[in-house]
Amino acid sequence: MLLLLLRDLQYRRWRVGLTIILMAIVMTLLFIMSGIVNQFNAEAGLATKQTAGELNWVVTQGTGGPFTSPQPVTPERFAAVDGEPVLLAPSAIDDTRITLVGRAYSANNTPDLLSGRYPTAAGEVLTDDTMGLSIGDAVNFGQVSGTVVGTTTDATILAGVPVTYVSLDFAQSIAAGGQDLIVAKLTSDTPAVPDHLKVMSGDDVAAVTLLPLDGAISSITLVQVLLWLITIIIIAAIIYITALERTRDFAVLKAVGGNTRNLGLSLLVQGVFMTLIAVLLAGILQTFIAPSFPLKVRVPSTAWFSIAGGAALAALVAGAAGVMKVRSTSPAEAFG
Amino acid sequence: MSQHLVSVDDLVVEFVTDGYSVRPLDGFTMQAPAGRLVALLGPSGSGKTTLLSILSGMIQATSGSVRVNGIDVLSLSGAALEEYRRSTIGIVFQGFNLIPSLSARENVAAPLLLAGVKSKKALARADELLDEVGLADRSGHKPLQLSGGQQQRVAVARGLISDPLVLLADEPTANLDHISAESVVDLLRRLRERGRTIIISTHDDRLLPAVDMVVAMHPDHPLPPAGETPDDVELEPGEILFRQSSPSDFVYEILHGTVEILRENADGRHEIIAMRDAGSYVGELGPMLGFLRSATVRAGSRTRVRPMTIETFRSNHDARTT
Repeated sequence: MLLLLLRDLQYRRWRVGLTIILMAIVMTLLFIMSGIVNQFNAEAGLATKQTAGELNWVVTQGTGGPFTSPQPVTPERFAAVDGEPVLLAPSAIDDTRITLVGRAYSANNTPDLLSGRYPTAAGEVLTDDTMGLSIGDAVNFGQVSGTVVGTTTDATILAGVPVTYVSLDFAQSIAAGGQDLIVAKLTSDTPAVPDHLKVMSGDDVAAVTLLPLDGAISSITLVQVLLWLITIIIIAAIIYITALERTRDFAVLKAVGGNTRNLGLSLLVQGVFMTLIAVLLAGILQTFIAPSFPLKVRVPSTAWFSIAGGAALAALVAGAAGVMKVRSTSPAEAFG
Repeated sequence: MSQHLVSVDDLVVEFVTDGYSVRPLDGFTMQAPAGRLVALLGPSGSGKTTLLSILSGMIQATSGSVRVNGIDVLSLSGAALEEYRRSTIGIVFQGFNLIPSLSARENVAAPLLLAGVKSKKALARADELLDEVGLADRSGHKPLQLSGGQQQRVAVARGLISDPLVLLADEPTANLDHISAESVVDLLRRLRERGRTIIISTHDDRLLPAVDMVVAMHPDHPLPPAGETPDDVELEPGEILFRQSSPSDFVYEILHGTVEILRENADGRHEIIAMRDAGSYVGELGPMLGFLRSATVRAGSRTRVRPMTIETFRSNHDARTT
């Protein structure tokens, strides 16, 4: 049976090859989409962790979140809370939109350094690696200049907006005209706070930061569903057409002693085999294509299982229709 | 067990096509002893391929009995039927029907591979048979790389792979030039010398001298002799002149009244497909072509018709048109 299956694949090698490539292209897009959604979902949590580690955030009541709707106030508003003051503000380096974070960096060794050191003085800047800057590069925050002293990674929010770290007083000079303003205090405990303040965990901050991307994530998820649909249609069509094309072969093979179960099984195996080859090819293709995307594409390992499993399942379901065709083929058809 | 290897008794096969029933085999009987080359001779539609399909257990009969080497073929089903097809009979299809993706030796070995025999053993047996049919040097070729005669010999080798008692060949010389056809007939004659019964269907009567036994599949319904004309027939309304599927004999000229031409459907209902009035003919094509009646004719009113032989009809018709 295996020999017959192998020979049929060889005989239809051009069509099999084209089908596999077609499926692989669609599956590559599925991998990429999975990676983008995964990045969206992971990005806010990673950026929050890079900024404040496991610390809690004490922010002004009514604030959506320190990253997405920072509300600068004087430190006196936080007088009742012990913690490390931090200022967050939307800003720009040259023409690139960034989120500026000003704080002290000695307390908990965040963010993780990719290179260089933490900024300790005004004019020193730590940037995310997606900015493409190197240590020693000069940067301009409008009229204020600085120099890159270190780089980090996984510090972006809102689908790729880099978080840039400076000292608190430098941040205040860039974003608050030199005024002593802060957005939050970072604490290692969960303090009792007055009514005008509230405590948010890192997870709370990440969840709120993710909210503006809900629409984008839903859209990409919908595209994923459509891609799945296309994948299933391709697999189903090819397998069923193969079954139709081989009706005469099946009739002959049944006439000379083949049974429906074995012939149907060979059709299923053929479909699953082609599908899994396509998944493998797609997995390789996505590693070459993903880096060309402007934001990080973080393909989760579960995508391999879900895409391979889903596609194999689609092949089996589509193959079942083919098996029905085999079943309904009378060996008498071989007589023509 | 019968002395005949193949025994068919009072076989009826009826099936429905386009809503009406046809009986390609109606009370058919034949016997074939071992070691004979038997030709089923008849035109298209005479039931040759239907009989081969019945003998190979691929379709069911309406009634009758079919025994091959003592096996009641019509009672087989499931695994027993698969085993029968695998081991008792071999089949050579019209148009070869080789699997295009397989080489000649793989095509020959396919029945054994499907039966779960190891590839090495199955392919070795295929090589023996290809050698026997003179195609040892073509064993690695795909069907499209072989001539028609070579493909037919590969098909014969495939039919012999399980060393069956009976080899069924459907129009084995159709699509072949005379040289290839001769080599295939010679091969079949040699194969039957080993005690194997070979049943071929053919519409080519040139093969008849080469076979041991001829089974005429065309129903023998002699036309009435020229010149013999019975009396006119009087019909009451609703009375049947002739029935669908009955033997064709006369052409009828309608002298008076009206007749309805009915198609009898498989569900028992009648469908009027035409009406004829006085001065026209009815039932001319059946005797002209030698077919069974394709419809029933009954009187729509009190009717008088005049039967005539096909020769009389032709001469009348020619006289009218000249």
